[in-house]
Amino acid sequence: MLGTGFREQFTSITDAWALAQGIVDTVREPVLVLDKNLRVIAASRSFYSAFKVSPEDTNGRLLYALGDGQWDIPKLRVLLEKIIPEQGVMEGYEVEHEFLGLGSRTMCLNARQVFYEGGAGTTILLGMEDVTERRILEREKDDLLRQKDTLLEELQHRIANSLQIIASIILMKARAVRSEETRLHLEDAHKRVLSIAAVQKQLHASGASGAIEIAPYLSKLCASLAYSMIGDTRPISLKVVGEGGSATSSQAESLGLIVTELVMNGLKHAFPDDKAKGQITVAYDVIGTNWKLSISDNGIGKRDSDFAQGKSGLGTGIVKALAQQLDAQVETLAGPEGTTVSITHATFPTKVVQAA
Amino acid sequence: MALTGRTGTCFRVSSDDRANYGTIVIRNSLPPVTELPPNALIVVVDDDVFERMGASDMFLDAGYQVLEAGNADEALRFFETNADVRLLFTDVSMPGSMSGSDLAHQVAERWPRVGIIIASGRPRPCKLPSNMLFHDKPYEPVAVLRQAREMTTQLG
Repeated sequence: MLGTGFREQFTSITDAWALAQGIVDTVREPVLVLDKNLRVIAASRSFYSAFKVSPEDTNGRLLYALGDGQWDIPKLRVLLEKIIPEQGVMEGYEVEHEFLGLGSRTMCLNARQVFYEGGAGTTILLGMEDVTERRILEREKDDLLRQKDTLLEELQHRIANSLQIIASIILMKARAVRSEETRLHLEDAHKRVLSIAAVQKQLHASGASGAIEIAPYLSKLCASLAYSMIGDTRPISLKVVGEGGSATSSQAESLGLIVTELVMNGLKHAFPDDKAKGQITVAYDVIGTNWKLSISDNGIGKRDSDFAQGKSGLGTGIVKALAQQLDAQVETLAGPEGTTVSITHATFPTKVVQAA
Repeated sequence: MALTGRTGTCFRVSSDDRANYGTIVIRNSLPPVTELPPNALIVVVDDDVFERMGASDMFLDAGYQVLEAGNADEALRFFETNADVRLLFTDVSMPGSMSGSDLAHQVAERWPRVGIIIASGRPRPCKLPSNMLFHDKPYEPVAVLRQAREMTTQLG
Protein backbone atom coordinates (compact mmCIF):
# COMPACT_ATOMS: atom_id res chain seq x y z
CA MET A 1 0.00 0.00 0.00
CA LEU A 2 2.95 2.32 0.48
CA GLY A 3 4.01 4.54 -2.42
CA THR A 4 7.35 4.38 -4.21
CA GLY A 5 8.47 7.50 -2.31
CA PHE A 6 8.37 5.38 0.80
CA ARG A 7 10.70 2.76 -0.74
CA GLU A 8 13.14 5.45 -1.83
CA GLN A 9 13.26 7.11 1.55
CA PHE A 10 13.75 3.90 3.52
CA THR A 11 16.41 2.06 1.56
CA SER A 12 18.24 1.28 4.76
CA ILE A 13 16.80 -1.65 6.68
CA THR A 14 17.59 0.06 9.97
CA ASP A 15 15.48 3.07 8.97
CA ALA A 16 12.62 0.85 7.89
CA TRP A 17 12.81 -1.03 11.18
CA ALA A 18 12.75 2.24 13.14
CA LEU A 19 9.69 3.30 11.20
CA ALA A 20 7.93 -0.02 11.79
CA GLN A 21 8.64 0.15 15.53
CA GLY A 22 7.47 3.77 15.53
CA ILE A 23 4.16 2.82 13.90
CA VAL A 24 3.58 -0.05 16.29
CA ASP A 25 4.24 2.22 19.28
CA THR A 26 2.08 5.05 17.98
CA VAL A 27 -1.22 3.25 17.36
CA ARG A 28 -3.64 3.63 20.24
CA GLU A 29 -5.07 0.13 20.01
CA PRO A 30 -2.88 -2.77 21.15
CA VAL A 31 -0.95 -4.36 18.28
CA LEU A 32 1.21 -7.50 18.16
CA VAL A 33 3.68 -8.43 15.44
CA LEU A 34 4.09 -12.23 15.31
CA ASP A 35 6.41 -14.45 13.34
CA LYS A 36 5.10 -17.44 11.44
CA ASN A 37 5.37 -19.62 14.56
CA LEU A 38 3.28 -17.08 16.48
CA ARG A 39 6.17 -15.78 18.54
CA VAL A 40 6.01 -12.10 19.47
CA ILE A 41 8.45 -10.00 17.43
CA ALA A 42 7.14 -6.69 18.67
CA ALA A 43 4.28 -5.31 20.72
CA SER A 44 2.88 -1.80 20.88
CA ARG A 45 3.14 0.27 24.04
CA SER A 46 -0.61 0.21 24.23
CA PHE A 47 -0.48 -3.60 24.40
CA TYR A 48 1.78 -3.50 27.46
CA SER A 49 -0.36 -0.96 29.24
CA ALA A 50 -3.72 -2.50 28.33
CA PHE A 51 -2.76 -6.00 29.50
CA LYS A 52 -0.37 -4.84 32.25
CA VAL A 53 2.62 -6.83 30.99
CA SER A 54 6.30 -5.93 30.52
CA PRO A 55 8.29 -6.11 27.25
CA GLU A 56 10.56 -8.68 28.89
CA ASP A 57 7.69 -11.07 29.52
CA THR A 58 6.39 -10.56 26.00
CA ASN A 59 9.03 -10.28 23.32
CA GLY A 60 10.29 -13.53 21.83
CA ARG A 61 7.64 -15.57 23.59
CA LEU A 62 4.93 -17.69 22.07
CA LEU A 63 1.58 -15.83 21.93
CA TYR A 64 -0.28 -18.69 23.61
CA ALA A 65 2.21 -18.69 26.49
CA LEU A 66 1.83 -14.98 27.27
CA GLY A 67 0.36 -13.99 30.63
CA ASP A 68 0.08 -17.54 32.00
CA GLY A 69 -1.55 -18.77 28.82
CA GLN A 70 -4.40 -16.27 28.86
CA TRP A 71 -4.11 -15.86 25.09
CA ASP A 72 -4.61 -19.55 24.49
CA ILE A 73 -8.16 -19.01 23.32
CA PRO A 74 -9.80 -21.61 21.04
CA LYS A 75 -11.41 -18.94 18.86
CA LEU A 76 -8.08 -17.11 18.51
CA ARG A 77 -6.39 -20.37 17.47
CA VAL A 78 -9.00 -20.77 14.73
CA LEU A 79 -8.22 -17.25 13.54
CA LEU A 80 -4.44 -17.55 13.51
CA GLU A 81 -4.05 -21.18 12.49
CA LYS A 82 -6.87 -21.59 10.02
CA ILE A 83 -8.43 -18.37 8.77
CA ILE A 84 -5.25 -16.29 8.33
CA PRO A 85 -3.20 -18.97 6.52
CA GLU A 86 -6.14 -19.47 4.17
CA GLN A 87 -7.39 -15.93 3.65
CA GLY A 88 -4.46 -13.71 4.58
CA VAL A 89 -6.69 -11.05 6.16
CA MET A 90 -9.46 -10.97 8.76
CA GLU A 91 -11.21 -7.91 10.12
CA GLY A 92 -13.72 -7.39 12.92
CA TYR A 93 -13.32 -10.88 14.43
CA GLU A 94 -14.87 -10.82 17.90
CA VAL A 95 -13.55 -12.87 20.82
CA GLU A 96 -15.02 -12.92 24.31
CA HIS A 97 -12.59 -13.99 26.98
CA GLU A 98 -11.71 -13.71 30.66
CA PHE A 99 -8.42 -11.76 30.86
CA LEU A 100 -6.24 -11.70 33.98
CA GLY A 101 -6.94 -8.59 36.00
CA LEU A 102 -9.31 -7.25 33.35
CA GLY A 103 -12.25 -9.56 33.73
CA SER A 104 -14.46 -10.62 30.88
CA ARG A 105 -13.73 -8.54 27.78
CA THR A 106 -14.97 -8.53 24.24
CA MET A 107 -12.07 -8.01 21.83
CA CYS A 108 -12.53 -7.05 18.24
CA LEU A 109 -9.51 -8.38 16.28
CA ASN A 110 -7.97 -7.45 12.95
CA ALA A 111 -5.29 -9.77 11.62
CA ARG A 112 -3.15 -9.63 8.50
CA GLN A 113 -0.40 -11.82 7.12
CA VAL A 114 2.56 -10.00 5.55
CA PHE A 115 4.70 -11.74 2.89
CA TYR A 116 8.20 -10.64 1.98
CA GLU A 117 10.21 -10.58 -1.21
CA GLY A 118 12.36 -13.66 -1.52
CA GLY A 119 9.83 -15.64 0.51
CA ALA A 120 11.76 -15.30 3.74
CA GLY A 121 8.98 -16.32 6.12
CA THR A 122 5.86 -14.33 6.97
CA THR A 123 4.74 -12.01 9.70
CA ILE A 124 1.29 -11.70 11.23
CA LEU A 125 0.02 -8.36 12.45
CA LEU A 126 -2.65 -8.67 15.12
CA GLY A 127 -4.57 -5.55 16.15
CA MET A 128 -7.12 -5.62 18.92
CA GLU A 129 -9.78 -3.25 20.14
CA ASP A 130 -11.55 -3.63 23.44
CA VAL A 131 -15.24 -3.25 22.49
CA THR A 132 -16.64 -4.48 25.81
CA GLU A 133 -18.09 -1.12 26.84
CA ARG A 134 -19.44 -0.46 23.39
CA ARG A 135 -21.23 -3.82 23.26
CA ILE A 136 -22.66 -3.24 26.73
CA LEU A 137 -23.93 0.19 25.66
CA GLU A 138 -25.45 -1.29 22.53
CA ARG A 139 -27.24 -3.95 24.55
CA GLU A 140 -28.47 -1.31 27.00
CA LYS A 141 -29.74 0.81 24.12
CA ASP A 142 -31.64 -2.16 22.65
CA ASP A 143 -33.11 -2.91 26.07
CA LEU A 144 -34.16 0.72 26.48
CA LEU A 145 -35.80 0.74 23.06
CA ARG A 146 -37.72 -2.39 23.94
CA GLN A 147 -38.73 -0.90 27.27
CA LYS A 148 -39.91 2.24 25.50
CA ASP A 149 -42.12 0.18 23.19
CA THR A 150 -43.56 -1.72 26.14
CA LEU A 151 -44.22 1.53 27.99
CA LEU A 152 -45.96 3.08 24.99
CA GLU A 153 -48.10 -0.03 24.63
CA GLU A 154 -48.94 0.11 28.34
CA LEU A 155 -49.77 3.79 28.13
CA GLN A 156 -52.05 3.18 25.16
CA HIS A 157 -53.76 0.41 27.13
CA ARG A 158 -54.29 2.71 30.10
CA ILE A 159 -55.69 5.50 27.92
CA ALA A 160 -58.12 3.05 26.31
CA ASN A 161 -59.21 1.73 29.71
CA SER A 162 -59.62 5.21 31.17
CA LEU A 163 -61.75 6.23 28.19
CA GLN A 164 -63.81 3.07 28.71
CA ILE A 165 -64.39 3.99 32.34
CA ILE A 166 -65.47 7.51 31.35
CA ALA A 167 -67.73 6.12 28.60
CA SER A 168 -69.30 3.62 31.02
CA ILE A 169 -69.99 6.25 33.66
CA ILE A 170 -71.54 8.66 31.16
CA LEU A 171 -73.79 5.94 29.78
CA MET A 172 -74.86 4.81 33.24
CA LYS A 173 -75.77 8.41 34.03
CA ALA A 174 -77.68 8.65 30.75
CA ARG A 175 -79.77 5.66 31.77
CA ALA A 176 -80.39 7.03 35.23
CA VAL A 177 -81.59 10.55 34.37
CA ARG A 178 -85.28 11.30 33.85
CA SER A 179 -85.04 14.29 31.56
CA GLU A 180 -85.02 13.31 27.90
CA GLU A 181 -82.94 16.37 27.02
CA THR A 182 -80.26 15.55 29.58
CA ARG A 183 -80.20 11.97 28.38
CA LEU A 184 -79.57 13.10 24.80
CA HIS A 185 -76.77 15.40 25.95
CA LEU A 186 -75.16 12.58 27.88
CA GLU A 187 -75.42 10.25 24.91
CA ASP A 188 -73.79 12.95 22.83
CA ALA A 189 -70.96 13.21 25.33
CA HIS A 190 -70.59 9.43 25.15
CA LYS A 191 -70.26 9.62 21.36
CA ARG A 192 -67.57 12.28 21.68
CA VAL A 193 -65.59 10.08 24.05
CA LEU A 194 -65.83 7.23 21.54
CA SER A 195 -64.74 9.41 18.65
CA ILE A 196 -61.77 10.75 20.60
CA ALA A 197 -60.89 7.13 21.26
CA ALA A 198 -61.24 6.35 17.54
CA VAL A 199 -58.95 9.25 16.65
CA GLN A 200 -56.48 8.17 19.31
CA LYS A 201 -56.52 4.59 18.05
CA GLN A 202 -55.96 5.61 14.45
CA LEU A 203 -53.06 7.82 15.45
CA HIS A 204 -51.49 5.11 17.59
CA ALA A 205 -51.76 2.64 14.71
CA SER A 206 -50.01 5.09 12.38
CA GLY A 207 -46.99 5.18 14.68
CA ALA A 208 -45.87 7.77 17.19
CA SER A 209 -43.86 10.19 15.14
CA GLY A 210 -44.38 9.63 11.44
CA ALA A 211 -46.51 11.66 9.09
CA ILE A 212 -50.11 10.50 8.78
CA GLU A 213 -51.73 9.98 5.39
CA ILE A 214 -54.93 11.96 5.68
CA ALA A 215 -57.42 10.25 3.37
CA PRO A 216 -56.98 6.65 4.60
CA TYR A 217 -56.95 7.96 8.17
CA LEU A 218 -60.23 9.84 7.72
CA SER A 219 -61.89 6.90 6.01
CA LYS A 220 -61.02 4.57 8.88
CA LEU A 221 -62.21 7.17 11.33
CA CYS A 222 -65.51 7.48 9.45
CA ALA A 223 -65.91 3.71 9.48
CA SER A 224 -65.70 3.70 13.27
CA LEU A 225 -67.98 6.75 13.45
CA ALA A 226 -70.56 4.87 11.42
CA TYR A 227 -70.92 2.37 14.25
CA SER A 228 -72.01 5.00 16.72
CA MET A 229 -74.66 6.34 14.38
CA ILE A 230 -76.52 3.12 13.87
CA GLY A 231 -80.11 3.48 14.90
CA ASP A 232 -81.10 5.75 12.07
CA THR A 233 -84.17 4.51 10.33
CA ARG A 234 -82.94 4.93 6.78
CA PRO A 235 -79.67 4.36 5.04
CA ILE A 236 -77.32 7.29 4.89
CA SER A 237 -74.10 6.88 3.00
CA LEU A 238 -70.87 8.35 4.27
CA LYS A 239 -68.20 8.84 1.66
CA VAL A 240 -64.58 9.85 2.00
CA VAL A 241 -62.74 11.28 -0.99
CA GLY A 242 -59.35 12.87 -1.24
CA GLU A 243 -56.07 13.08 -3.00
CA GLY A 244 -52.83 12.72 -1.07
CA GLY A 245 -51.87 14.92 1.82
CA SER A 246 -50.25 14.06 5.09
CA ALA A 247 -50.10 15.73 8.48
CA THR A 248 -48.40 15.56 11.84
CA SER A 249 -50.22 13.59 14.51
CA SER A 250 -51.45 16.71 16.30
CA GLN A 251 -52.83 18.19 13.07
CA ALA A 252 -54.42 14.85 12.23
CA GLU A 253 -56.01 14.79 15.65
CA SER A 254 -57.62 18.19 15.09
CA LEU A 255 -58.80 17.19 11.60
CA GLY A 256 -60.23 13.95 12.98
CA LEU A 257 -62.15 15.75 15.70
CA ILE A 258 -63.54 18.29 13.21
CA VAL A 259 -64.75 15.45 10.96
CA THR A 260 -66.30 13.73 13.97
CA GLU A 261 -68.23 16.82 15.02
CA LEU A 262 -69.49 17.70 11.54
CA VAL A 263 -70.44 14.16 10.54
CA MET A 264 -72.30 13.71 13.82
CA ASN A 265 -73.97 17.06 13.28
CA GLY A 266 -74.97 16.15 9.72
CA LEU A 267 -76.40 12.81 10.74
CA LYS A 268 -78.35 14.39 13.55
CA HIS A 269 -79.81 17.37 11.75
CA ALA A 270 -79.58 17.13 7.97
CA PHE A 271 -82.07 14.36 7.36
CA PRO A 272 -85.14 14.83 9.55
CA ASP A 273 -87.58 13.41 7.01
CA ASP A 274 -87.36 10.20 5.04
CA LYS A 275 -85.44 11.76 2.24
CA ALA A 276 -84.75 9.26 -0.52
CA LYS A 277 -80.99 9.03 -0.30
CA GLY A 278 -79.03 10.79 2.37
CA GLN A 279 -75.38 11.24 1.68
CA ILE A 280 -72.52 12.84 3.58
CA THR A 281 -69.21 13.40 1.83
CA VAL A 282 -65.94 14.08 3.57
CA ALA A 283 -63.38 15.52 1.14
CA TYR A 284 -59.77 16.44 1.69
CA ASP A 285 -57.85 18.29 -1.02
CA VAL A 286 -54.34 19.58 -0.91
CA ILE A 287 -52.26 21.85 -3.15
CA GLY A 288 -48.74 22.46 -1.92
CA THR A 289 -49.01 23.67 1.66
CA ASN A 290 -52.66 24.61 1.23
CA TRP A 291 -55.46 22.25 2.06
CA LYS A 292 -59.21 22.14 2.32
CA LEU A 293 -61.36 19.79 4.33
CA SER A 294 -65.03 19.82 3.53
CA ILE A 295 -67.96 17.93 4.93
CA SER A 296 -71.09 18.18 2.83
CA ASP A 297 -74.51 16.61 2.95
CA ASN A 298 -77.51 16.59 0.63
CA GLY A 299 -80.01 17.11 3.41
CA ILE A 300 -82.11 20.10 4.39
CA GLY A 301 -79.83 23.08 4.24
CA LYS A 302 -81.51 25.08 6.97
CA ARG A 303 -79.88 24.28 10.25
CA ASP A 304 -76.49 25.48 9.27
CA SER A 305 -77.46 29.09 9.07
CA ASP A 306 -76.70 28.61 12.74
CA PHE A 307 -73.19 27.89 11.75
CA ALA A 308 -72.90 30.88 9.42
CA GLN A 309 -74.26 33.32 11.96
CA GLY A 310 -72.23 31.91 14.75
CA LYS A 311 -75.29 31.02 16.81
CA SER A 312 -73.22 28.53 18.50
CA GLY A 313 -74.01 25.09 19.59
CA LEU A 314 -71.22 23.31 21.33
CA GLY A 315 -70.29 21.53 18.09
CA THR A 316 -69.87 24.85 16.29
CA GLY A 317 -67.59 26.15 18.99
CA ILE A 318 -65.49 22.99 18.94
CA VAL A 319 -65.06 23.11 15.16
CA LYS A 320 -64.09 26.79 15.22
CA ALA A 321 -61.58 26.28 17.98
CA LEU A 322 -60.01 23.31 16.21
CA ALA A 323 -59.85 25.19 12.90
CA GLN A 324 -58.14 28.09 14.64
CA GLN A 325 -55.61 25.65 16.01
CA LEU A 326 -54.92 24.55 12.43
CA ASP A 327 -54.67 28.15 11.24
CA ALA A 328 -57.68 27.57 9.00
CA GLN A 329 -60.95 29.31 8.14
CA VAL A 330 -64.40 27.83 8.59
CA GLU A 331 -66.99 28.55 5.92
CA THR A 332 -70.53 27.26 5.73
CA LEU A 333 -72.72 27.13 2.66
CA ALA A 334 -76.30 26.11 3.22
CA GLY A 335 -78.93 25.88 0.51
CA PRO A 336 -81.74 23.69 -0.76
CA GLU A 337 -79.15 21.21 -2.02
CA GLY A 338 -77.75 20.66 1.40
CA THR A 339 -74.95 22.01 3.52
CA THR A 340 -71.22 22.20 3.03
CA VAL A 341 -68.81 23.20 5.77
CA SER A 342 -65.29 23.90 4.53
CA ILE A 343 -62.18 24.25 6.63
CA THR A 344 -59.52 25.94 4.51
CA HIS A 345 -55.89 26.52 5.26
CA ALA A 346 -54.36 28.84 2.65
CA THR A 347 -51.09 30.68 2.67
CA PHE A 348 -49.95 32.98 -0.09
CA PRO A 349 -46.21 33.10 -0.66
CA THR A 350 -44.88 36.67 -0.72
CA LYS A 351 -43.84 37.67 -4.22
CA VAL A 352 -40.21 38.66 -4.50
CA VAL A 353 -40.04 42.00 -6.25
CA GLN A 354 -37.10 41.98 -8.55
CA ALA A 355 -35.05 45.14 -8.90
CA ALA A 356 -35.18 46.39 -12.48
CA MET B 1 -61.85 -1.88 0.97
CA ALA B 2 -64.79 -3.74 2.43
CA LEU B 3 -66.41 -4.14 5.77
CA THR B 4 -68.98 -6.84 5.50
CA GLY B 5 -70.84 -9.49 7.37
CA ARG B 6 -72.31 -9.22 10.77
CA THR B 7 -71.67 -5.54 11.26
CA GLY B 8 -74.28 -4.69 8.63
CA THR B 9 -71.99 -1.88 7.53
CA CYS B 10 -70.45 -1.96 4.12
CA PHE B 11 -68.19 0.08 1.93
CA ARG B 12 -69.32 0.83 -1.57
CA VAL B 13 -67.10 2.28 -4.22
CA SER B 14 -68.70 5.02 -6.23
CA SER B 15 -67.34 7.26 -8.94
CA ASP B 16 -65.94 10.69 -8.22
CA ASP B 17 -63.21 12.69 -9.84
CA ARG B 18 -61.04 12.15 -6.79
CA ALA B 19 -59.80 8.96 -5.24
CA ASN B 20 -62.62 7.44 -3.29
CA TYR B 21 -61.73 6.05 0.07
CA GLY B 22 -64.92 4.14 0.52
CA THR B 23 -68.55 4.70 1.25
CA ILE B 24 -70.12 3.49 4.43
CA VAL B 25 -73.81 2.81 4.44
CA ILE B 26 -75.34 3.34 7.83
CA ARG B 27 -78.58 1.54 8.46
CA ASN B 28 -80.54 0.20 11.30
CA SER B 29 -79.81 -3.47 11.30
CA LEU B 30 -80.71 -4.36 14.85
CA PRO B 31 -83.07 -7.31 14.78
CA PRO B 32 -86.27 -6.62 16.74
CA VAL B 33 -85.96 -7.17 20.46
CA THR B 34 -88.45 -10.03 20.37
CA GLU B 35 -85.84 -12.23 18.72
CA LEU B 36 -83.86 -12.34 21.93
CA PRO B 37 -84.58 -15.59 23.76
CA PRO B 38 -86.31 -14.78 27.05
CA ASN B 39 -83.93 -14.37 29.99
CA ALA B 40 -80.79 -15.07 28.01
CA LEU B 41 -78.02 -15.36 30.58
CA ILE B 42 -74.68 -13.61 30.13
CA VAL B 43 -71.53 -13.61 32.27
CA VAL B 44 -69.81 -10.20 32.36
CA VAL B 45 -66.18 -10.25 33.53
CA ASP B 46 -64.08 -7.17 34.32
CA ASP B 47 -61.86 -6.32 37.28
CA ASP B 48 -62.75 -2.63 37.02
CA VAL B 49 -65.95 -1.88 38.92
CA PHE B 50 -67.13 0.93 36.64
CA GLU B 51 -66.44 -0.94 33.46
CA ARG B 52 -68.21 -4.02 34.82
CA MET B 53 -71.23 -1.98 35.98
CA GLY B 54 -71.40 -0.20 32.64
CA ALA B 55 -71.35 -3.46 30.73
CA SER B 56 -73.94 -5.05 33.04
CA ASP B 57 -76.27 -2.09 32.65
CA MET B 58 -75.90 -2.27 28.90
CA PHE B 59 -76.86 -5.96 28.77
CA LEU B 60 -79.63 -5.61 31.39
CA ASP B 61 -81.21 -2.81 29.34
CA ALA B 62 -81.07 -5.03 26.28
CA GLY B 63 -83.06 -7.71 28.10
CA TYR B 64 -80.36 -10.09 29.29
CA GLN B 65 -79.92 -11.59 32.71
CA VAL B 66 -76.43 -10.77 33.93
CA LEU B 67 -73.97 -12.56 36.20
CA GLU B 68 -71.07 -10.29 37.19
CA ALA B 69 -67.56 -11.57 37.89
CA GLY B 70 -64.46 -9.61 38.92
CA ASN B 71 -61.99 -12.20 37.69
CA ALA B 72 -61.73 -15.28 35.51
CA ASP B 73 -61.94 -17.86 38.35
CA GLU B 74 -65.20 -16.37 39.59
CA ALA B 75 -66.54 -16.40 36.05
CA LEU B 76 -65.63 -20.04 35.58
CA ARG B 77 -67.60 -20.98 38.69
CA PHE B 78 -70.68 -19.33 37.16
CA PHE B 79 -70.29 -21.50 34.08
CA GLU B 80 -69.88 -24.62 36.21
CA THR B 81 -73.05 -23.95 38.18
CA ASN B 82 -75.30 -22.52 35.45
CA ALA B 83 -75.87 -24.78 32.50
CA ASP B 84 -77.86 -22.15 30.62
CA VAL B 85 -75.29 -19.35 30.24
CA ARG B 86 -75.43 -18.22 26.61
CA LEU B 87 -72.77 -15.53 26.41
CA LEU B 88 -69.44 -14.47 27.85
CA PHE B 89 -68.37 -10.82 27.73
CA THR B 90 -64.88 -10.47 29.15
CA ASP B 91 -61.94 -8.13 29.66
CA VAL B 92 -58.45 -9.51 28.93
CA SER B 93 -55.98 -8.16 31.52
CA MET B 94 -57.19 -9.13 34.96
CA PRO B 95 -55.58 -10.19 38.22
CA GLY B 96 -55.96 -13.82 39.26
CA SER B 97 -54.77 -17.18 38.00
CA MET B 98 -56.23 -16.70 34.50
CA SER B 99 -56.38 -13.87 32.01
CA GLY B 100 -59.54 -13.08 30.10
CA SER B 101 -58.21 -14.82 27.02
CA ASP B 102 -57.33 -17.96 29.04
CA LEU B 103 -60.90 -17.88 30.32
CA ALA B 104 -62.28 -17.45 26.81
CA HIS B 105 -60.31 -20.42 25.53
CA GLN B 106 -61.44 -22.63 28.41
CA VAL B 107 -65.06 -21.66 27.97
CA ALA B 108 -64.81 -22.27 24.20
CA GLU B 109 -63.49 -25.75 24.87
CA ARG B 110 -65.78 -26.79 27.71
CA TRP B 111 -68.97 -25.02 26.63
CA PRO B 112 -68.77 -24.74 22.85
CA ARG B 113 -72.30 -23.36 22.55
CA VAL B 114 -71.48 -20.21 24.53
CA GLY B 115 -70.92 -17.06 22.44
CA ILE B 116 -67.76 -15.18 23.38
CA ILE B 117 -67.05 -11.45 23.08
CA ILE B 118 -63.73 -10.04 24.27
CA ALA B 119 -63.16 -6.33 24.94
CA SER B 120 -59.74 -4.92 25.69
CA GLY B 121 -57.68 -1.76 25.68
CA ARG B 122 -54.76 -3.82 24.39
CA PRO B 123 -54.29 -4.64 20.73
CA ARG B 124 -56.35 -7.42 19.29
CA PRO B 125 -54.55 -10.77 19.76
CA CYS B 126 -53.19 -12.18 16.51
CA LYS B 127 -54.58 -15.63 17.04
CA LEU B 128 -58.23 -15.43 17.93
CA PRO B 129 -60.46 -18.46 17.36
CA SER B 130 -63.14 -17.79 14.76
CA ASN B 131 -65.95 -18.23 17.26
CA MET B 132 -64.73 -15.32 19.41
CA LEU B 133 -65.31 -11.65 18.68
CA PHE B 134 -63.05 -8.83 19.73
CA HIS B 135 -63.82 -5.20 20.52
CA ASP B 136 -61.37 -2.44 21.30
CA LYS B 137 -62.07 -0.47 24.45
CA PRO B 138 -63.83 1.86 24.59
CA TYR B 139 -66.32 -0.27 22.71
CA GLU B 140 -69.41 0.94 20.89
CA PRO B 141 -72.37 -0.43 22.89
CA VAL B 142 -74.63 -0.71 19.84
CA ALA B 143 -72.08 -2.79 17.96
CA VAL B 144 -71.47 -5.07 20.94
CA LEU B 145 -75.20 -5.56 21.57
CA ARG B 146 -75.87 -6.36 17.95
CA GLN B 147 -73.20 -9.04 17.90
CA ALA B 148 -74.37 -10.38 21.23
CA ARG B 149 -77.88 -10.67 19.86
CA GLU B 150 -76.72 -12.38 16.69
CA MET B 151 -74.75 -14.87 18.74
CA THR B 152 -77.63 -15.57 21.10
CA THR B 153 -80.07 -16.19 18.30
CA GLN B 154 -77.60 -18.15 16.15
CA LEU B 155 -76.50 -20.40 18.95
CA GLY B 156 -80.17 -21.08 19.68
